[in-house]
Amino acid sequence: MPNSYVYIAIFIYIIIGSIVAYFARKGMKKGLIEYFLSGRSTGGFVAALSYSATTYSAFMMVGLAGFTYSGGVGALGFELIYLAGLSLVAFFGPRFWLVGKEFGYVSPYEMLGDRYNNQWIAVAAAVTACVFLIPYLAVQLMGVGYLMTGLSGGSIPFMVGVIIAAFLAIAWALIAGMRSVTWTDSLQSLIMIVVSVIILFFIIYKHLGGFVGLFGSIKSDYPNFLTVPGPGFFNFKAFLGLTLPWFFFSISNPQVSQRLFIPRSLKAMKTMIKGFLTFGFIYTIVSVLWGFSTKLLIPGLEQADMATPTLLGSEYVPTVLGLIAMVGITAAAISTIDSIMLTLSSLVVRDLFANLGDEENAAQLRIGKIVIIVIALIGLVFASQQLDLIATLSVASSVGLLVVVPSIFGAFFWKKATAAGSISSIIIGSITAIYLQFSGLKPLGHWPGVWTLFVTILVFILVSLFTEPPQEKAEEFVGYLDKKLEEKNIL
Amino acid sequence: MDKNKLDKLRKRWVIFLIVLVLSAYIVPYMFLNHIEKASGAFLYWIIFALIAIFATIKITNYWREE
Repeated sequence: MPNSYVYIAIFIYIIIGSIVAYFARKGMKKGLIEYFLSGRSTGGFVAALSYSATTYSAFMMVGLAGFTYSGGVGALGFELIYLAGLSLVAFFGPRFWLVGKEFGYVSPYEMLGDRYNNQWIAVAAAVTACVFLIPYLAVQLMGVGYLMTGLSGGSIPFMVGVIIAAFLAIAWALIAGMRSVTWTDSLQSLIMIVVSVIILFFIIYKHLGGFVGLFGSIKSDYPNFLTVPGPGFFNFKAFLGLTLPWFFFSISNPQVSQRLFIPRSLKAMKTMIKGFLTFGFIYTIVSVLWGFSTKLLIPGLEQADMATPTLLGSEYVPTVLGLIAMVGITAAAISTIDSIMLTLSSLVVRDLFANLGDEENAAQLRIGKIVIIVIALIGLVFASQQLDLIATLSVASSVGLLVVVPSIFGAFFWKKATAAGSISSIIIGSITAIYLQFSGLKPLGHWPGVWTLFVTILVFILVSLFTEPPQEKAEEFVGYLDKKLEEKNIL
Repeated sequence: MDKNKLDKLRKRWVIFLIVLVLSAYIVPYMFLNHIEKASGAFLYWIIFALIAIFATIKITNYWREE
């Protein structure tokens, strides 16, 4: 398709998104809590849409569709096990929210530092998050780059898409912080879901004889794609290695766990969870069916990641729909990128440089804004390297973030957990994740995610058993929660 | 709700969810690995996810503001 069409579609999207971001700024108040958490007063509907847009990135329609294209139905199991991981939020969500309000936490790691009475935990966790989330962010930028290149038949250079995505994410995070991020996220999540559903129905009914035809063709042409291990990619150990980090995604990834601080009430949080689960269920099935459809229409692609861009640029999809889809996927990427940048910025300000002053301190906000730009630039450099399979890289990032999971469980459920246990598990866990990731080693055939979680839990428990817990703080923290949980019927 | 009742409910739901999630590994890999139809692993995971979604919503439905 002509380049000018792609540019016009992106231009319209930029204008509409920027108008929304501008309106978000109008009602904005001053201060750090307002900037990073939208004043803890987000309504359920916006919180649900924003949570969905932040969680679901370009990975879904590009990476997950690619997984389906190369590995079959295992991709569905993988993503739905992730969705089931949201059941963790039914337990952790209200706990985060309650202590966030009571003790004034802005970042989830600030919460860990305070609970274990040791600021170095927040520092270690924040460093880990930066190390692992920047590749994840780069993967999103690459998604946009691949897409524009694929759609234009190669005539729009990869870096053009990458730079447009980075620029928009910076702008929409800077305009009004969390407020502009959640508002533009809401718009983008609607674009994502509507666009993906329309195109799926179009392709399936126009070219594949409806859903019955789709499954009939898969069954006759690629019968093993309906089973696991199927064509081979999803052998059990790979499946476990992929799903385990993602099951804990909702509490391990700070850009989503921080969202547990923003609803205005428990009712709003309930709406957020329900809305997200509905969105996620539909979006997962759509992305997987998209992968199956591409397998049938354009078999034999060498790079599975190119399945979606190739399909959108092919004769099976009319130009207008292809353009709309491109905007949908770009929206998915940018809504994830700006949230990550905003969260990392809050981690740097609150956890790495915690002694900058009080909440209203303009210095903290100023530094926060500079950090957003710096992070975007690092992501840009990373993306320009064009590292291998997009989906695998994205998963690799969530392996590293697993290292905070035992500390988060311990903070709420184990009074004897100690600061030494937490910090040593975060450091040793991170080293394990990085070592396995870079060496490519899979001891006993198990993937880095499995070993990282195992090592982190082991170190956390063992070190905690032999060191002194912060008794007073644990009593205050858990005692406060116990009282509130009982009052509010929280399981 | 008093603490004992809450603890009991919590335990019950946690066990239910653990079993449910384990089934999402065991059933497709052990029992459905030869069924090359949409009514095999595909359907199982859809049903699994729906149950997980309803369970999660059910747990949040216990909550009350004060």
